This record gives sequence, structure tokens and C-alpha cells, in this order.
Amino acid sequence: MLLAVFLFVFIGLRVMPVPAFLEDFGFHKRDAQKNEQQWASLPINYASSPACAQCHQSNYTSWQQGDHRTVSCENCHGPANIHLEGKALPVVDTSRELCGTCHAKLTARPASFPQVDMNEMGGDSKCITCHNPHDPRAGMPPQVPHTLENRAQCLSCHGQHEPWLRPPPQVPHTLEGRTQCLSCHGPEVIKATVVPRVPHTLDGRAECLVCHNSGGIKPFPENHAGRTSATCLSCHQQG
Amino acid sequence: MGNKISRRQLIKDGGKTLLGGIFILSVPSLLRSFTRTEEPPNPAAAAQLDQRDWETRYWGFICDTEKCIGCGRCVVACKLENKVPWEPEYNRTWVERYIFTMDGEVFVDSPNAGRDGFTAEPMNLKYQNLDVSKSFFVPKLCNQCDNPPCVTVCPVNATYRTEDGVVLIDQEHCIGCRYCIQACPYGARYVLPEASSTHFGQVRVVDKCTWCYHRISKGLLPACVEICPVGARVFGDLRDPDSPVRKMLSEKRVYVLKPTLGTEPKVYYVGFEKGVQ
Repeated sequence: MLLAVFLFVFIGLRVMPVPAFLEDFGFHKRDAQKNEQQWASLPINYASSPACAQCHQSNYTSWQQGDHRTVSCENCHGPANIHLEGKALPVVDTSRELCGTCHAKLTARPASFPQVDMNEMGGDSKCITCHNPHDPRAGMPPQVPHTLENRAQCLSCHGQHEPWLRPPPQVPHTLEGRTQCLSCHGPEVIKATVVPRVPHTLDGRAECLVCHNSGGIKPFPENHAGRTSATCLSCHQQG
Repeated sequence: MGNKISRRQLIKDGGKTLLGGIFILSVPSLLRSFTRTEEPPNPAAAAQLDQRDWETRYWGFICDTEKCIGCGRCVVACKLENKVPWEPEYNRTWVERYIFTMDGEVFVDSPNAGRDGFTAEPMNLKYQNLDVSKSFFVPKLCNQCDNPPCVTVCPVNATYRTEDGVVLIDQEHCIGCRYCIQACPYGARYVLPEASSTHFGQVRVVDKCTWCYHRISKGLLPACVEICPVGARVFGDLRDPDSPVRKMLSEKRVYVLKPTLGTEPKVYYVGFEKGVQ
């Protein structure tokens, strides 16, 4: 009986002061609202792109219209708030490496994302010498401004020629390895089109139109009307 | 030996003691449970806090692995926004690259936690001769679990889940025991090193992603979401039917990391693949 009373009293005294939850006692007491307020009041460094538009309107407009419009200003220019407070000029990273972090070719990147081989593209020069970083496609090769009907031979006008009254623009770059003008200078639909290659040998087949004329075995498409055998191979390569 | 207790007496007394003990043990918790239900939350104090609306806001996060290009700008933005130490060992967010080969092997890497991107030559040579079947990037960050194991284990009650669904740490309260780091199945927590300059001046305490609590409580996006150039990170209010997160959750098939652990994460992944942990 004595033992029972002792245990009863001991356990009672032992247990009563110990609460089931410690969070309201002593050091365990934590002020959640004060802590949330502290976290919520930390300084903000990234100001978001619209903040830049206040002063840099022209760059902002060209950025908004370009393919980089999803890339916020602070990606390349760094966090802007310190600049907005007038304390520092933003750091602009114009290195090839920065462009490469997104555009260098990687297997893991989505195939639809534009990627280039950094070892081949542009040598050692900065990407921004050709590409406008705010509107990257603005610096791309000019597109043909006129209709292409009956004008398959670009170089008959745009190559080396005698002085004309109003000369068409000459090709400003080397033609080595560049036989397909339209793959760069054509409108998007043409650039995307793959020119069919000649699937057979050319031995004894110098005259393409024997087979490929309208009414032939495999006639050329309608938009090829008027072209002679002389020009076929400048676009349709063998193999 | 006069006080000898018979077996019957021992069982009787012992049983009484046990029952009495159990009764007494239950008193404080019973009392507490009564008082608890009577204590209403303080709505006035909550409203003062940036006018946050506890009734409507409950944050959620989506990572789109089909869009992520592994540029690592999110890691940089997070470090600059939150004073996370620049060294690659300390991260609130990081990017992992998964490579699945035709043989069924899985390679995972995260050079410098993705801070400098994945394009540097030395890190890619290792993967040059693999017969890759598929490969993609997986951004990682604190999942702000609805059932957070890190909160359960904290011995000093320094970490907790807020009403708007973010797990925060009271760094003035944290004793740096690292129990939560062991408990987190996603590796989201780290200890602030001695030499770091932190917002609250505390070092050797635990730090982790807060979904940029200072930004989201002012209506801004987390820095990593703000900076992502391809929109691979989406953030918003799970209770707002028009929020980008809710719209995306209803349009896309999503998954969470380690769902079998019952942590109920609030970072959802689009384009999930078996084998991603």
C-alpha cells in the first residue's frame, strides 16, 4: 500500500509539470508572427523588368519585341534594385560564356531550344558583335525583299557586275560553302523547306528535263516553270 | 520480513497504481486539449502582417522539366537575392541533370550545383560516349511540404509551417543541431557556414529556401521564378482559381518527388520520369 501511494504521488508530481507540447514554454516559446515579419521584411534585390522601362524605354521596347522577351533584364544586367537606389551601375555581362550558358549545345536541353556549337559559331568574337542581345534576330541575315519568281540565280544580279544605274546590293561575304542563298536570306517558309536532293547518279543524265519536265516521269513543281536543266544542280545536290 | 506482500496484494496495488498513473498522465493533455479549442487564433494580429490574407493564400510551385535548359540563372539569382553563400556547397535551389542511357543506366550530375551552367568542357567530357536515350534538367528547391518531417524532428521548435504554406526557420531560435537536415528527404537544408554574412546575423544555424518569403508577401515572384528565361518555374496561389499554378495544374500531368514518403510536397514537376528522386 505504501508503495502504491509513493508511486502515485511520485508519478503525479513528475508528470503534472511536464506539458505535452513544449512550444509555449521557456526557450521553446517561438513568436511565429515576429519571425514571419522578419523574413517578410528582408531587402529585395531583383526589381523585375518593368522597373527598367522607366528610364531605358528604347531598349525595353526592342527587347519586348524580340525573341529574348522572356529573358528578364536582370538575367544579363544583374539585380537592379541597387541601381534603382542610385548606389551602383548595373554590371553587364557580355561574355560568350554567358550566352553559352543558355545557347551552347547540350543533349539535356529541349531539342526545340536554339542551341549552337560554341566552338564553331563566331570564332572567339563576342556573340553580341553580330547578335543584338535585346532582339537577337535583328542582326540576322537580311531577307529577300522581292518576289523569287524567275529569279533562281541570285548571283546573276547580286554577284560581281558592271556598274548599273541603280545597282542591286552585292553579296558582302565570301560565297565559299554558301551555294544556297535562300537558306539564310529566304523568308521563314523557304528557310524551313528542305530542298530535295538528287537520289540517283548523274551519269548519262545531263539533261534533267528529259524526265523532270512537265508531263515527264517525275515533273518539277509548278513554281519551277521556265527553268532549264542548267540551273537544277545549283540547288539540288547529288546524294 | 513482516511486511511481506502476497502475490494477490501486489497485483491489486500494482493495478491501482497503473490506473491512477494513467489517469494523472492524461490530466494535463486533457486540460490542454480543452483550453486549446477555446483559444481562437488572433485574426487582428495576423491582418497586420503585410495585410496578408490567410483565407485565400496558399502558395504552390511548379517546375517544368520539359522547358528547363539548365542555364543555372535561378541558382545565381537565389544566391544574390537571399545572401546564400556563393560556394557551391550551400544552396537553397540547384539544378540536376539526368541522363538515361539505352542500357537503362541513370547518370545524375550537378556541377557546382548548376550555378555556372552545364556547358564547361571538363564536366561534359565525362558524358561524351554515352548512348543517351533521354536527358533533361530537374530544378530542385525546398518542397514546402504539407507534412514536413523537418518540422516534426526539430527539438527546439525553431522551424514551422506558416498559414500560407511555407516552412520557415526562426534562425534566432535554431540551435544548429542539424536534425532537420537528416530528416529532409530532399536535401533542401544546409548549415550557414561560420564566415557567411547572413540577413539575421546568425551563423551555424540551418537555412533553406523560403520561396523568397520577403518577395511573395509583397506580391512579387520568387527570384528564381522571376529570372527563369524559359518559364520553367511557375509560382502562385493554390487557392486562386486564376493563378498560373492552378491553371497549369489543371492542364498538365504533374508529379511530386518521393510521394511514397507522405510528405505531401507543394513543388510539382511537369514531365516527370521514373528514376528522378
